[in-house]
Amino acid sequence: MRSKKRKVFIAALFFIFVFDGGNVFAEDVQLPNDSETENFDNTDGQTDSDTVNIQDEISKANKIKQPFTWTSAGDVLKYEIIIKKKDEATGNYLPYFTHETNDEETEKCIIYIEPLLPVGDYISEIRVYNVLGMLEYDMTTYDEFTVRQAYKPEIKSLSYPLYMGSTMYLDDFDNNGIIEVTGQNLFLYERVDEDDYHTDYTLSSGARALKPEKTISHDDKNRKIELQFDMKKLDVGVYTMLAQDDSGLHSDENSSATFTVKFKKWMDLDVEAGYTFPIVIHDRTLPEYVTRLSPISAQARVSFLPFKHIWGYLGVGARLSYSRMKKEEAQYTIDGNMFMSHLLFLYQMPLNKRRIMLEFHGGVGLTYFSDIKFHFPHNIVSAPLNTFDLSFLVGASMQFYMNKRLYAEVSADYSLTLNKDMVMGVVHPSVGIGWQF
Amino acid sequence: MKKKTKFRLKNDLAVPFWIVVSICLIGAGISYGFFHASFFRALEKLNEEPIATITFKYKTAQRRFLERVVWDRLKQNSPVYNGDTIHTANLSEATIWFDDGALDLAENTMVQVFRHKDGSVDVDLEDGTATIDSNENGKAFTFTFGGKIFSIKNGTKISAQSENGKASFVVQKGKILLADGTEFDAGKSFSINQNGETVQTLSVTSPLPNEKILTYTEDLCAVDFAWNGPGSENLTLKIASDKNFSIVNETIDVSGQNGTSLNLQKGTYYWQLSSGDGKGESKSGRLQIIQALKPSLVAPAKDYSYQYRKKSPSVRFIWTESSTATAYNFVISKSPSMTNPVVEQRSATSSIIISTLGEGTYYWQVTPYYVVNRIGFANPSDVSSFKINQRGDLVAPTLYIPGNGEFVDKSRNSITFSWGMEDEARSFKIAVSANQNMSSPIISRETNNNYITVSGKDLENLKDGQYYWTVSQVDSEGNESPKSKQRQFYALNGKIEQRTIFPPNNYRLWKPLLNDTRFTWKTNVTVGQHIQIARDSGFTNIVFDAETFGSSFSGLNLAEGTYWWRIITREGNFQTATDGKQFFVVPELDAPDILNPTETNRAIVRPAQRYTINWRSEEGADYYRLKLFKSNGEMIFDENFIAGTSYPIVMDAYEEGIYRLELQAYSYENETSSRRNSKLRTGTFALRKIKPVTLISPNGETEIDGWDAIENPPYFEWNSSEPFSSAEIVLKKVGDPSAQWNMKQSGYRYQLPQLSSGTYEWTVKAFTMDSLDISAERTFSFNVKPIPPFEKPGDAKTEGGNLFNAEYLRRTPYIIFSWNSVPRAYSYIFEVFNEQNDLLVREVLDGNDNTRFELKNLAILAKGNFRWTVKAVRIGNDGKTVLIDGDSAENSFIIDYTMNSDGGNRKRNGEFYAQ
Repeated sequence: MRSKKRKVFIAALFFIFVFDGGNVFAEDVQLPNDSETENFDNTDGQTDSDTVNIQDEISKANKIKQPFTWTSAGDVLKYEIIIKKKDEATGNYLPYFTHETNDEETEKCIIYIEPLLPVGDYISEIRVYNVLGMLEYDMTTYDEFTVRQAYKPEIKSLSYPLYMGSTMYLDDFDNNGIIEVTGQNLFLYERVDEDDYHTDYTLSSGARALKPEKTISHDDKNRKIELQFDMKKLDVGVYTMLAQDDSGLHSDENSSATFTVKFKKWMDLDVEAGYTFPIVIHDRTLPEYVTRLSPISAQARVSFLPFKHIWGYLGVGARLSYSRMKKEEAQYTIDGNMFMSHLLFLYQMPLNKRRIMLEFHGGVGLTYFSDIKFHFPHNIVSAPLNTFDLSFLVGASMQFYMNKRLYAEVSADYSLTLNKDMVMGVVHPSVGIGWQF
Repeated sequence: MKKKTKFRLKNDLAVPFWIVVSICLIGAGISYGFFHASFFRALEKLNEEPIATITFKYKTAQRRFLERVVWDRLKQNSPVYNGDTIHTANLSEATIWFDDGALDLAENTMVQVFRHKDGSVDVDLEDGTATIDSNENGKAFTFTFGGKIFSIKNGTKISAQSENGKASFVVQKGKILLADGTEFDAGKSFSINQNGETVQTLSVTSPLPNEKILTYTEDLCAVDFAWNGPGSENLTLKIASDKNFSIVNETIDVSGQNGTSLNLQKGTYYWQLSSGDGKGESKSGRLQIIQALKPSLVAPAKDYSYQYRKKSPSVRFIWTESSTATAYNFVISKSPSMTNPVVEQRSATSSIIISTLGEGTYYWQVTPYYVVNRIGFANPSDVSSFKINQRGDLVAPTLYIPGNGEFVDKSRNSITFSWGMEDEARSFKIAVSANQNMSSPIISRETNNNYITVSGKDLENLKDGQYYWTVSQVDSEGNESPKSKQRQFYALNGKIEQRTIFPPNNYRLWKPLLNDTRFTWKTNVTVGQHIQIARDSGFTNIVFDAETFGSSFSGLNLAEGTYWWRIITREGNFQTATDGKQFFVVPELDAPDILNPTETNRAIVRPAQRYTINWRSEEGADYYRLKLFKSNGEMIFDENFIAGTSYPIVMDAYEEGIYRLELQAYSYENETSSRRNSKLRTGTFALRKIKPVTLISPNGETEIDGWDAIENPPYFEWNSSEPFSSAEIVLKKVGDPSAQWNMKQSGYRYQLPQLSSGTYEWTVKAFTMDSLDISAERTFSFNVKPIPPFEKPGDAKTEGGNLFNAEYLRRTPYIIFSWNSVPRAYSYIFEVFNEQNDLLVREVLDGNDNTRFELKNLAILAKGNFRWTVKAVRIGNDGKTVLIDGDSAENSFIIDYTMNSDGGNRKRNGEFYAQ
């Protein structure tokens, strides 16, 4: 339903992109796997050791892999990889895994250790056989490494304790951004100690990815954690929580790991009427005939804001103003009407817990000078002048909400009317009262 | 310039200064004394007889005289006068002792006491808690509260508690009589309300208000609560730790009961017995459980034993205090049942010193005295025991140095006398005298050490001569032991020089020479000396002792054996001897054993060769003399001074037959031994002369055609005049140590093996039937003429070019070498060398058409240039001798690949994990 409604505002989308520049407000946090995803398109899992990172491999496959890589030693017939495991009882290293590389492994300098090494301390030995098949003793290298325990995080539910659901409404002012995650192997987000188990949490929606600000509470059994996110960054959207272990194992993306941020009221419809007092500030043509615009003046506006985000609301509006013009001279009287109607693009920024809305708007429309006539004595009346002219308007306003619906508005607009005889600039200070549906 | 100033108190001001300071200090002391006396003064009336005395257990009490308004701080046992008002402070307790009874005052209690003219005592309780205990035989008390007067009969104990104008009484024993004639017996309780009416109330007969219970164990203390009177239907008993019952330890419903028992720990409790859910009547009181454990005896430890010789020891007894005990009865007995005590004393403290105990086993015990509840002596400690032993007489010390009869060199700076340390010695007395009866000692000292050092003037007093010394010890009681057995020594200026020279230690003397051997020594002693010869180092078994006045001695005659000799000087009691030196009187050397020739081992004589006679080396022998005799006794050989154990003799001229041989060993004189001869060794032997094999052909002039040597070799020929048991032709190629043949022979003719060109040498090794070596005495040589070498194989090349790079080697892990065949060649020798010309591969390929070799083991190669050769050869039937060599064809190839020396290192692209 909602998507259908949005189709109505394709034009408005265009407007957003004009302002937005595509992604001005989006966060630049990258999802953990996005940057190097391209490197792992190799279907057989074999890849060049230069591009291999163990954690990326595990993360991509979401299962434990143990790619063992080394630098190329040149024209080599084969490498022999010997891995010795430390016997905890005696402290001695005992052979655990031996492998001679095939041609492909020799070229790419990578093997995937199978079966996987269990947790423990190891020493690896790489023996190099030159192309003649002779062992290059001097090039044998040793390296110690540790295989650590991996814990695959699992997210069973994601909820917003404040509302006891998985949806956060941005309409409310008391949002604290604390999201409760339950599941398995959910370790602390903050890394207290280098050796402690730690889980990386990412809340992502499309290209947007958010990291927690801090941990609020944590269950000792690692089954529950409460994470606080920056409310200023939690924009409207459907978010997926990804918990990733240091090993790269991460939680599966499924519906229980999703979280929705939205406005309860998905759009604002404002109707407003008020008084405006146009002041011509350049092109003296009109003031020359009509000393000043008459105080008989009014304006009305309707605004529709369907794009609501934390950084502000976007929408369209229609503005109509009317001003009576009249000037009495000794020999004649001149009078007429000026209508202005504009289609506006709006940007509203809520301030002070949405008690005040600061609005910037601009648009294009028509200025209609209607029935401008000279009245001479003896009921001699000149032929009326009626003209439609192209007009542009930009302005800003502030709306002060007296309650959730009723508001008063103070605004100042500037309009520019293009006529073949003149280019008229008018400032429209105005006050009004409105109602939000 | 700044002038330095220095303050100094002049001597003439010091005296007045100290006088003034002393006066001030004395004044301050006197003032403090007055202040102390005034502050702690207990006022006493001089014109009035006291009616009682007061003691207090905790803190203090105050007293106000009847006619005074000033409160007086009381001391222990202060007199109490008629009309005195006594007040106890917070947490204080006091007892007023009358002639007819006692009045116990609890804390915050105020009473006024009167003594009527009839002698009866009246106690007016104004506030607080008091207990009156009248004696059985004393006069009656009266008790006044709020104007009401009660008569307290003899032998009555009543507890009274007054608070806010109300008073409650409990009669614990005896009887009291109210003014209105009402009587209350023991166990009854009543109150006087604010209207002055007497009401019988709930009466708690046990425990009493403010009762103290002494428990002698660490267990919980059983406290019996008992009550009677009205309102016992709905009763609650509360036990609290504080007066306000804010910390209630226990709440017990005791409705309908007349008593209960509770087990409580030590401490202070407040109890409250209330009826009707606390709305009705309630009684409360304070209960103190005091844990007074029996004293444990600390010192002397059980079965400790004290030693003394004449003075009885001072024994200090210490025991632990028992809580609230004010004194202890200390008893020592010789019986574990503590009957008939030797010592029985009171002690206010927990220690006592007794110095009157003689020898024996004692038992001791302390019994505390408790004032609380007027218990008195109770709760005695366990009985412990100790011993006091009287020791025997002191023994005389053992003297160490100088030893008896020893010389003491006075020219040293000091001389030391030392003796054994004694456990009981507090000092030692040493005396040195020139007289044996130790009269008028030259040195007489007392010291704490077990030695003295005599130097300086004392040393000078010792003239050259004989002295005696003794030591006695003195113990801590001043008892002196008998003097040690006296020792004598000689004081001399300088040291005695006396040393033996010859024969030196461990010298071996040949017995025949002993009589002429001169024993020599050096001495600076002019008195008589003896030379002593003994069979033991301790000179207990002396075999020779002769006085001598010179410095040498000869003419001894001793049996073979081991001896010690020394020079000894004797003069009076003084005697000095040199260390004994060991020497051996030894017989002739053993006759040397002849090894070759013997009766069973003939002398085999070869033409133009010397025959070597040898014998076993004789220990101690320096040279030998050898003689040979014919069977008719004619000496044909005599050689003396043969240093070794063998001697070669030319015997070509000797005929075969039986000969006799004589051998004798000799030794020279040296530092450790005199000269010696051995016994004569004689022996006979047989002499045999043998003839060796003769070689015939091929001889030095023989030349053998090269192809004949391979295809039709000629024969060796040789001969022997004696039949042989075994024979062997030994053939060697000159210049080639590896080319050698050993060929067993059964006749005198043998065909040559296939031989390559060159010069050869041959001989025959043979043995006779009686195993005598008759090998040929010379070698023969001959030549095998050379055959022209094979031409080098053509078109020697490696397949696939001669550059093998990594790509090629990965595809083709071997190298194929090929060449053209050479006519008449039987085999090819293929060799590969590296740039350093090291031979890497050598293969012998048999067959004329075997012209291809595949090198599979590339691991023997490396990066670089390699040279390879191939040549055609003819190899002998033995499979190794190259009979005909060939010219080598040579070619080379290159192995090229690149190794990255930094490669093969593990990349650390993240951490490894396991699930």
